[in-house]
Amino acid sequence: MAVQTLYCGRCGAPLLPGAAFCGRCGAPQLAFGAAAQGVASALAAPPVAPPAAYGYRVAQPGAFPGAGGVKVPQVMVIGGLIVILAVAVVVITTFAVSRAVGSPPCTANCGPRLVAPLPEANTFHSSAFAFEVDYSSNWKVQGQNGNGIALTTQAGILQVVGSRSEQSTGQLIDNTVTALPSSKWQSVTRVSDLKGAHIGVQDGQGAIYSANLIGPGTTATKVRFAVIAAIRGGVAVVIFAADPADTKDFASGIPEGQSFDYLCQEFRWAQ
Amino acid sequence: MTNGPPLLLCPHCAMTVPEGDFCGHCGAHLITASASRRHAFAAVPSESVAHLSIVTTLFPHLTHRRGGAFRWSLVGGSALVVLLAALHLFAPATAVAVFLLPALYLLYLYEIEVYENEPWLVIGVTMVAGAILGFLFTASLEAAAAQVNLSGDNGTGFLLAGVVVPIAAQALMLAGPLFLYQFRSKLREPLDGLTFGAASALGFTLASSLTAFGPLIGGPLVGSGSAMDWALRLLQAGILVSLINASTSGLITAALWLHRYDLRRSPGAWYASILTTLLVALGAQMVVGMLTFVIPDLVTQVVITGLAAIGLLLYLRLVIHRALLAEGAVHEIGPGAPCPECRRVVPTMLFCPACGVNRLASSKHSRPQVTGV
Repeated sequence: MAVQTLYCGRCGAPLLPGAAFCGRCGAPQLAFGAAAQGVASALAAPPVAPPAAYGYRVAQPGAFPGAGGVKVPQVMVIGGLIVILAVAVVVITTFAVSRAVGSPPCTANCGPRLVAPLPEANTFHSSAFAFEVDYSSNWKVQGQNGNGIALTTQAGILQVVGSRSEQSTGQLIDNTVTALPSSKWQSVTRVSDLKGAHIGVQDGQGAIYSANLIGPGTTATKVRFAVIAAIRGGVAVVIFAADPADTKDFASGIPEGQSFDYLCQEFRWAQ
Repeated sequence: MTNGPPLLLCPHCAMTVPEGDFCGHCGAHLITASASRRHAFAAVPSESVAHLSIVTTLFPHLTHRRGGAFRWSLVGGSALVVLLAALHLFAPATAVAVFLLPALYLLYLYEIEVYENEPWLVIGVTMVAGAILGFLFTASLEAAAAQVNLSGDNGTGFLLAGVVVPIAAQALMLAGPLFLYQFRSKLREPLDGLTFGAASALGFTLASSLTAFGPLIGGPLVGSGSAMDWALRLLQAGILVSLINASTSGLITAALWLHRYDLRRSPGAWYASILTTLLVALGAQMVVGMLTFVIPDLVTQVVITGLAAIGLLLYLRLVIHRALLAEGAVHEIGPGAPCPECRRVVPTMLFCPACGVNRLASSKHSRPQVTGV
C-alpha cells in the first residue's frame, strides 16, 4: 500500500514521511515523541487496527485541579429547578385564582339597546315552520335545511333552529347547552340571564354563558355565547350565537352582540 | 515525554495518533475499524447512536455522570405534573408542565457556559426572544383559531393547524439562533447551534403553551374536570410538544452550524444537510399538526405526539453524531489530561482515545485546551 501524504495540522504544509516536526512552521507532529524509526515503520506498515488498546490510567482525584470541573453541583441542579418551578407555580396559581374572583358577572341589560342596521341583508325562509330571518350578506351559510340555518359570522357563529316542542323556553335553553360536546366546550358557566330576550315580536327567555372552547391540539379559547328561546303558535325557535369573549369592551362579552340582537328584532314568525 | 502511549497510523484518517480504542483525530473506532462507530455516540460513547435519551440528546454537553441530576429532575417533574393534575390542582400542574424543560435548559446553559462571556445576549436572543415571539404568535392567532373552532370550518382549520401554524412557528423559533449565526461567528461549534435552537424553541413553547392554556387555568385553586384529561393535555403540551419543537429547531440549527464550520470540508452525509433537516423538521411539525387536527381523541393525539418526539430525538442524535465526527481538521496531540467523560488521563485531542467522546461535547469551562482547536 502506498504511504499517504500527511499534512501539518497547524500550517497545512505537506510532511515528509516520518517527520517529527513540520518543515515549514516547525510544529511538533508527535507530541509523545516516538522514535523516528518507529514512526517510519508505522507509516510504512499496512494500517491495521491494534489487537488490544492501550490502557490509560484513571485520573486520581485532585491530581488535575480544575480539569473537568463541575460548575453546578448535582444537588444545585435539582434545587435550582425546584426554586424556578416553585416561583412559576406561585405566580401562575395566583394569577389563575385572581381571575376567578376578579370579574363580576353581568346581571342586567347585557344586550345592547342601540342596534345598527345590517348591510345587504339576506333572508332565510324555513320551509318547515315558515319563519323568516334576515342576516348579513357578510355572513356565510354553513348549513341550512327546512328547520333552520347555521351561519358563520364575522367573528363567531349563529344558529337558528325551529322545532315543534312541548318544552318550556327554559328547558329548550338547558337542552341546547347540555347538547354541546364536552370534548370541545368546557367549563360552560351561566353568566347571566338575558333580560328582555325576544325573537321577533315574541317575548322569550335568554341566557349568556361563558365557556372554554378546546381546539385542535391543546389550544383553548375563552368564548361567550347567548342562547335565546321563544315559542309562538306551537313552534319553538332557539337562537344560539357565540363569539370569542371580550368582556373588556362589551358588556355581554359578545363583540357581535348588536348584530345578533338585530337579527332577533328582524325575525318574522309565520303568524 | 517518552512514557506516553505508542503511536499508530489511523486507517481512516491516515493520521499518526496515540494508541487507544478510538482515533483521537477522527474518532473512528480502531478496534472494530468503524469510522461511523454507531455503537458509540460521539457525545456520550457509553450509549449507541440509536439510543432513546432526552438528556444526552438535547443536553449533549453534559457528561454521562452529570446527566443524572437532569435525568432525575425530568422524571420527577413529569411525575409531579401527573400528581398535581390528579389532585385537581390544575394551575400548579400547568406551571410545572410548561416550565419544566425550559427551566432545566436554563440550568444547563449555565452549567456548560455555551454562551462564553455573553450570557445575557445569548439567553436573551434565544430563550427570552423565543418566549416573546411565542406569546405574540399565539395571542395573534387566538381570534382566528376561535372563529375556526366555532364555525367548524374544517378546511380552514386544517390549513391553519397543519400548514400555517407549524411553518410560521418553526420560522419564529429559528429567529434568535439565526441572529447569533449572523452576528456571533465565534460561537461556531455545531453543538452551539443545536443548543441555541433548542433553547429558542423551549422559550417559544413555554409562552405559547401558557397562552393557549390561559383561559383554562383561570378558576379556583382546586378545579373541576377530569384529572386524566388534564394530565394528558399537560404532558402533551408541556413535555412532548417541547421535545418536538426543541428537536426540530435543534436539527436545523445544528445542520446550519455544521455546514458553515465543517472544518474538514467533507462531502457530508445527506441526512445532516440543511435541506434534509429543514424538510424533516417542517414535515414532522406539519404532520403532527394535521394529525392532531383530524384525530380528536386525546389519547391518540398523545400517542402520535409521543411517537413524533421519539423519532425526532433519534434523528437528532444521528445529526449530532455526524456533526461531532465531522469536526477536527487540526491535528495536534496535547498534554495528558483527564477525559471529562471517562476520567482517564489521555493525550488531549479532539476525541478521547480511550472512550471516544468528542471534546466539544463537554462544557466549555471544563475542557482541556489544545492550541489551534
